Amino acid sequence: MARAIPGRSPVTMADALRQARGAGEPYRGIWSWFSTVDHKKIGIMYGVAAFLFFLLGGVEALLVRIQLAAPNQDFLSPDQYNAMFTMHGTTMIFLVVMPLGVAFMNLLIPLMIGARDVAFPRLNAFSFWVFLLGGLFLNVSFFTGGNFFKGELGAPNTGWYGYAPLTENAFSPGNGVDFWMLGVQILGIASLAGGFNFIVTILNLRAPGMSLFRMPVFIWMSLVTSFLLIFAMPVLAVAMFQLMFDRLFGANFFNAAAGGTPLLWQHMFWIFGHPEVYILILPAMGIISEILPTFSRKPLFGYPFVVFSGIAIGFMSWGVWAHHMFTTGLGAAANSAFGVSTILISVPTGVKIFNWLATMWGGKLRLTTPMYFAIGFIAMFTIGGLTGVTHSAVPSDYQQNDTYYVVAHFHQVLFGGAIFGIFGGIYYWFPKFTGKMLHDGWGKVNFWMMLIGFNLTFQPMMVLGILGMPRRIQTYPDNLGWNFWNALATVGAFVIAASVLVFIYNVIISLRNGAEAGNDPWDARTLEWSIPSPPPEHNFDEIPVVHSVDDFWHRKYVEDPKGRPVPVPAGAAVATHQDGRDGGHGHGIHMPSPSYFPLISAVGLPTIAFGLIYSYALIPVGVIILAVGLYGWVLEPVSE
Amino acid sequence: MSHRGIWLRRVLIGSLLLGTLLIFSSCSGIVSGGQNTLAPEGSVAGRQRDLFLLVVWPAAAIFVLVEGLIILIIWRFHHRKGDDTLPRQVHGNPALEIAWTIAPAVLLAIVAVPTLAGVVTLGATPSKIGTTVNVSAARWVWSFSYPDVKDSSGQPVTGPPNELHIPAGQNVEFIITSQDVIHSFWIPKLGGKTDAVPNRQNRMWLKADRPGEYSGQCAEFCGALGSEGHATMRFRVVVQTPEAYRAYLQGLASGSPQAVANQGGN
Amino acid sequence: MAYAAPHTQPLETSTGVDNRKLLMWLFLGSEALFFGSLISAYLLYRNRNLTGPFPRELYDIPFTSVSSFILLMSSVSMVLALAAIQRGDIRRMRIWLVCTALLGILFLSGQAYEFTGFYDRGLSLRTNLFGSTFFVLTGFHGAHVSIGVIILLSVWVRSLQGKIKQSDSLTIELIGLYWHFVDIVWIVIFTLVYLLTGR
Repeated sequence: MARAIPGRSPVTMADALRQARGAGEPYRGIWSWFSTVDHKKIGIMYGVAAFLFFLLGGVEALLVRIQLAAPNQDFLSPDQYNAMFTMHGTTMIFLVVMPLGVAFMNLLIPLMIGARDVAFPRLNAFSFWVFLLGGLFLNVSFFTGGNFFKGELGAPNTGWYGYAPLTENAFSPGNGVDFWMLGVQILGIASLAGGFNFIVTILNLRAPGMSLFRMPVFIWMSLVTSFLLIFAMPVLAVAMFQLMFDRLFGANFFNAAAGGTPLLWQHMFWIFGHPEVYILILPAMGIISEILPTFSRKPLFGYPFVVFSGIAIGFMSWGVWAHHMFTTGLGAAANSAFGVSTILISVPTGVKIFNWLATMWGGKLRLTTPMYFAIGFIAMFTIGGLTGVTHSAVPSDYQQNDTYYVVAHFHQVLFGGAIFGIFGGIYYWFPKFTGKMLHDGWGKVNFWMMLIGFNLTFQPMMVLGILGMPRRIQTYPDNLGWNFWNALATVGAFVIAASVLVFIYNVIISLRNGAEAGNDPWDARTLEWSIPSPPPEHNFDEIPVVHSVDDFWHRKYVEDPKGRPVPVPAGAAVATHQDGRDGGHGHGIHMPSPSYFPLISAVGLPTIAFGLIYSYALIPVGVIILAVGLYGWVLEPVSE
Repeated sequence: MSHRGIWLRRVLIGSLLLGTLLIFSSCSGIVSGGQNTLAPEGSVAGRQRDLFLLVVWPAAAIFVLVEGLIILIIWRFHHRKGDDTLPRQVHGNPALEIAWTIAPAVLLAIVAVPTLAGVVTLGATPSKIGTTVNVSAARWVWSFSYPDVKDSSGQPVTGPPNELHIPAGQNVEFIITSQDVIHSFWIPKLGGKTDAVPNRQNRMWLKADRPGEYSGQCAEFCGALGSEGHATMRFRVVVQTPEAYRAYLQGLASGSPQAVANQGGN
Repeated sequence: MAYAAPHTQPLETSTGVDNRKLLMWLFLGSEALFFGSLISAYLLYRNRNLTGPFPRELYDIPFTSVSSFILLMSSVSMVLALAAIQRGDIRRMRIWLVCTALLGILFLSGQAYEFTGFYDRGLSLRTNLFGSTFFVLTGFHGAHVSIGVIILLSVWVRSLQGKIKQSDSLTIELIGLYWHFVDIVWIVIFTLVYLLTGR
């Protein structure tokens, strides 16, 4: 904390906002957000938008749980129920966990590698606007099925995985599936744009001295995630295009009568879908790999092992897709091969868990809220990993496939893993981007409620699966022993909801009256803590020169011969670590100018999608908007 | 961090652990009817349960190890008031890390052997087949026909919808297909599921231990219309003695299935 | 996005590769998966077609060979355009760019002729699996060629306005990368889809 850049006092949020407004001339106030190309503002918008979708997806989950709280209920009609679980899954995956990961990548990648922004700031803004509009487009479908207030929902109702041929016109008339396939297609464009941008940024914009193996683990996980994104999304795009040609233009890709096979859809969907699982979890693994060392007061145990296991997961995730299809009749050879590959992929995941434990071992653990969530991640993700291993025992999976056991498993991974990691990340980095600490006491209330709610909701589902309850049924008979466990899961879901309300309350009171964060409230290890909170628009007054992993920590502490860290005398280290080539104190640094063209281009995409559904006349309008946006984008003078 | 908080955490995690164990043990004990996959009534389901438990016990051991380590670490290494020194900075230990890479790999290799054996055994229909049943799924009805006995027009006899009859103690082969979307044929107490895919014939075999009635259910989401839908696509399985089963099929062929069904319950 | 970085003053990057060039390579890697999936779908369905018309009744290999050759030649002229701007010869570059675009348009005309011919002989997107997989695969390829032509002509117009200088050679290089990629994809399609026809 004491090691602020000389001559710069900690900045308050109000100062920072004023500064941000001033920097955005001539774009002032709220409008500056529409044209911003600043990775921090885009990251915040990504995060806030994804969090709002999180609330929406949460409400959908609660409706599902109310319906299932007791047997033989008709709180929701089958159609409404199907729409709810479809939108819950699609929302949580494409509109919540993915973009929350992207939000962290946006906020942190430039700061952690010592860069002023991402490689393509306007492409970054484009990615956000496409994501936001794509998400809204998807949710508009709720209102297109007639009278929304009478419960006539037009939303897709074929599951987030949309198995053909159920998604074909013959079985799903109406526009729901059209909104789903086009919405996901639009969201894919946002993911691709983000993925390209992050890879180039990480590979090309690292500060002097930051070799690949001096990068924070979060950056490594972001890199692997981005590669998975750019290679997985095009496969999904093709599957969605095939469905689109089937539905809108009468093609035969999934038409059994013409000789087509619905298994083509499953193969393509899961070739995307399994890397996707790691797209969802790797950023959270990166987050807790930053939190654990900071609060253990020790470096990450076995940095190269953690990095290489992340890379290994990235590669192996391409060879396990058919474990989603064990019961489709692929044959013994394919089932054996994919069973073994599924067994194998659990090894690098297990390695990480032991490395994290070893990081804490021998440390002096500061049990703050972010640390609670990080430890919660390890505790809960372990359950998810182990239930995953039971699926790799293929014959046993014949029983569990498509039951609540699977629902329990992937929520243990995606809620117990990804969401716990993300909440830990929010508590950890909130001070950096707002200048205020989140309240630690309320944070712990938030944690315990979420942990208890989580276990109440999802562990009973494990039992339900074993008791033979299949997924995606909106009603069940009362004589199968499922009643108690379902009721328990519903109670748990409401505890989770309450914990999220506590979180919102915490954010509000902390933004108003939170303690000032200062530059480095956690005595942390990575470069983002070396600059003010919130960071100035240009991030670094002077681009740092990096000498090791956890460079910022080593500016504060040196290790004596026994490996004991000793603080560096105040002020001694600062001057020697900067190369000064960009001039000091933010003067004379040219940041990319704001631009409206990413937003304009993004508007073109849902316009085209609406055109495909309602009236082809809209398509040229969308194309023209897109073209105007792109030409303006390419041709506008860039003052950098 | 106060000691009270630590204790709270330990108690909570401990009870969680205990709860999970209780849940597992209760599954096999308390609920024996219904669709409990841990209380099988057939050899295929039995084998699948055994394989499941074979994985669950080591998994439970690892679970206890990891959660135990977490509690131990928090108890031993949490920051104590007034201690401003930093811990020794350990960066890693390759030997240890290689060990905990290889250990799970070995453990998993042990799991892989019975897995592969199971895939092969359950994947191929045994040479001794008691009878064959054609299963045809359509939204939201199951139809069962029995090629062992032909009706007057030479077609396999067809039973009433959503009611399957099979003989006890014999291997029964199912040839499964769908008329429209994907469904999944599943009798939890007798064995795992196999998808019914249009334009494709999947095979599966089961063997029921003894006569009795079981419930079966569609396990692949297949949509809904009005009050009908995936959730209601259930069927009744009547396991009969081989003699009663034969009589049932003959009854179907002669056109009086009801009479035979009533007496053929066991 | 091609102009995202200032082209007057090349940025120093950690890898030494220009940001835009790296972006283009990543984009093409992603595109490879896109076309790979489309081609796989075609191949998977090649022998599942139930009703005619079948590929071998329709394909006119000599005709498609000629149009493939035209597309190949456009890659040559693209290389010449890049060589010209790297020498600082904007006038030649302009000629070769237009040449590349015209060859692209010629290829697209050939594709349009082929599509209408197939359609007249009873093959549409709806007819059978062959129609669906063939039109979607080659259609997406054609769309990529069309976008390439639009970009080429846009750059050509910019150069007529005097906005393209020798220092912009990277822009031409990137367009060239895209163009060659689309060309290579066509070679794969021509081999797997046309020459190894199947049933």
